[in-house]
Amino acid sequence: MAEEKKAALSIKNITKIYGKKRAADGVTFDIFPGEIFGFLGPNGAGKTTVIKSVLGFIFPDEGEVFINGYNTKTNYEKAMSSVGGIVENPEMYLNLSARQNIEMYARLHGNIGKERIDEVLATVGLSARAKDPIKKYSLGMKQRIGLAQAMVHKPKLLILDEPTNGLDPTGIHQLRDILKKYAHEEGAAVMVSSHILSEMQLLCDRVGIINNGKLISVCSMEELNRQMNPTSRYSIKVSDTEQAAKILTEKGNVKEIETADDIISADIEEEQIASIVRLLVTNDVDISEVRKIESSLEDIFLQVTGGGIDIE
Amino acid sequence: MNKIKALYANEIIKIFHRPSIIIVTSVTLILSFLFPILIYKLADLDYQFYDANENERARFEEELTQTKKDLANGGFSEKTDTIEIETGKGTVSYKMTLYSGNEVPNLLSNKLCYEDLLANYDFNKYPTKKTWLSMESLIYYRKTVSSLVSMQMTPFEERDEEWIKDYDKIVIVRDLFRKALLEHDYDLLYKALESGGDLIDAVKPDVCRKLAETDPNGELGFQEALYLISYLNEKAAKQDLLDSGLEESYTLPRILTEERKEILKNSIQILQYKFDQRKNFDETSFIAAMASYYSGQVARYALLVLLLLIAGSSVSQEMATGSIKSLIIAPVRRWKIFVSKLLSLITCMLGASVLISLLSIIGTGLFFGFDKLPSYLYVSGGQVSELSFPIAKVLMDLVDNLTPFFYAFCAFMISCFTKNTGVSVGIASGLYLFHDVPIILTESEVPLRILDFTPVANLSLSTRLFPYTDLMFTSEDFSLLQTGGYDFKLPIWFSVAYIIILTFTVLFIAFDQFTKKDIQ
Repeated sequence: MAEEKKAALSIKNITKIYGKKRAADGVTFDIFPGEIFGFLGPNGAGKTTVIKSVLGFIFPDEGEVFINGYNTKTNYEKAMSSVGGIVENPEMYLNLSARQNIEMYARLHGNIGKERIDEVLATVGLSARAKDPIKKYSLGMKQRIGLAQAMVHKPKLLILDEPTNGLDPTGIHQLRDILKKYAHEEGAAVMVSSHILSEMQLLCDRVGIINNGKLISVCSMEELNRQMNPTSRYSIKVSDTEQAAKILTEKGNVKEIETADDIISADIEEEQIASIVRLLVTNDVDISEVRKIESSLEDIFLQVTGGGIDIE
Repeated sequence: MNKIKALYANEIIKIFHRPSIIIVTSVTLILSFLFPILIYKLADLDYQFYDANENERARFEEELTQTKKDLANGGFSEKTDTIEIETGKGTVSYKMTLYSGNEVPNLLSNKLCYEDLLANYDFNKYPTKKTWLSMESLIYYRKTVSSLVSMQMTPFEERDEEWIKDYDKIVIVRDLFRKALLEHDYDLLYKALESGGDLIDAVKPDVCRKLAETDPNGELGFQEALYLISYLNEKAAKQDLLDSGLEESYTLPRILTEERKEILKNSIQILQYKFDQRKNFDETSFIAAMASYYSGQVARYALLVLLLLIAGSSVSQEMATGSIKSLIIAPVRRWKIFVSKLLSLITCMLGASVLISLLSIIGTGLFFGFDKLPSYLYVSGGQVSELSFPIAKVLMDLVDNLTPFFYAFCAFMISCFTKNTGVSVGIASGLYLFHDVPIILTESEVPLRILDFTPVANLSLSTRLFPYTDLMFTSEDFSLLQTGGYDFKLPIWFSVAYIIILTFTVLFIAFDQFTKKDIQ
């Protein structure tokens, strides 16, 4: 679906070299409107280098970045006018209030009214504290106000580096809702980098995995699941595992059977599961639980990157 | 352009929300306003040299009584004898007096003068302190009497023909001063000064003549006359310099350049104008100008701290706190961010400088009186013109502040490199504090005048753009405001071009560093 749309962010062959180290090595991928893209990688993999290259912090040695179709080298201001973002932590002017910070940022975009500022402050739940100086804010509040600032000009591309830092579970839930609504309902492209992989699993439509400066994989969560779970596998909690294994082997034509305690697991196609349950029950094997086994994003990530978990 | 305007507005908001900037700005402004008040409080402006209500006769009588007591207590004695002295015409007998005792020259001369004045002087018509003519005559009448008393303390056996000649000469001079005092007559004073020659350390006779021309009735006050005399003396000194074609330098006398000759000629014309117009005539005017001048000097240090703080933190503070990120993510090119930061810095420079000057003028004017502030005089088209004090002060302060401005640009550049406020402010402060060390150490003895190519020599434009500043403060009693500085041989356009090129170089390096380097 997404491939047919015009990319909100198109990164082509981004390469950045520090001394002998290639922090980013020919990184190429696209992000499309209406999707949330998770950007994963272990420490020093090159995630932040790529994000900073996109946002104009660093100048890549090679490659180009297109935002909303505009090349950042030749049409920088037009390209950047449709980007909002938080890099690492949302650092703001501590002596100024949240509202002043957002007003100052909004001034650089032009034509942003007071109503829109009120709206984003309400979205992140900080309307009541908008006049407080930022230095009185907790990290979680700074994250929220950073998000409000990043969204104030309704960017078509939102890039958030570790946006859940400092947020409590409620805050994380709210952030997820805000970002999903922003991407899926308002049609913006959202790029998120986070070390909380369970969050990424709940949030992202697609992920890109980077390691040692190279992009290893870019695919949708479904594709990723399919790649990592080529066969459908179920675990069944039974009253007699030996009896159950025998029935499944002899009558159920089921492969790759494993038993452990009172659980038997095996490769079973989704459409077969009802008949398999019936077969076991009719052969006097009691069933107390049936569960599909899936690799988590963390499993996939560990497998792809060879073990290094991003804990930045 | 709109982006630069928006960035500029943001920069100004950021600067004036920083507590350190607010504190230093407040201190700077308060200092520039209060310093003239401090001077006002310290200066004894209520002091009146001439008290119109004073009963001078009564005071003289009182002092005479006290002087007689002091003489008696000091063991004063007097011995008269007839002395024979060998002269070229043979031996001559003189009736002479020998005085002895403590402090006799001072006490006895006072006694003699007071007795004489109380008997012969019309205190009601010419109180001695009221006019320069009477005061000057009285001072030298007493001095000559004192000299004669001193001579009469010489033992009889040491007195010879030479002694007689000197004594007689001083008697003539004394009598002329006495007569000038009693008759209130400039001509007699002139003759006394002329006769006194090297014997007395008074104004030159021709100065007296010029005062007489401008004050035919002898009504010129003592303090006012001192100003006029200082103009005349300074004019004569400058004329001497001009005639000699040489002026003093640290080492050998130096040949006057055409620029210096022109300044000297104009200075002479201005001094004559001041004499004719009787410009900044009273002490209050002088102290007011001095108060305003020094408040500018003091506030300059506070201004330097303020500007270094703003410039040194402009980039580095944002880098250190990470707030630069919201600027980089915004749809503005880096050069625009740089330009806005630079413009805000320049605004602070000019704004602070003008504000400090104005506050200093207001502070001075409120306490000393706005009418007391002296104009800046200069020569234009062969005529002496006046620039009002407020305008002159603002412009002169701006030129003087070029040095803090330049070092603030340096701090800005260093801040782009080091991304550290402390280092930027520290290095720039160090450069400022020690910038004139090469000149102090070498005292212009460096061959080929390489110092002409140092920033400090070229930044001192004030004395060259406003070469007649010292004439605003002319007074015999105060020479501390005489502007000096590094004596420069190259033309002024060289310095202006030098400063422009140097500043552009500093800013270009900062620009290059800010716009072309990665921000981590």
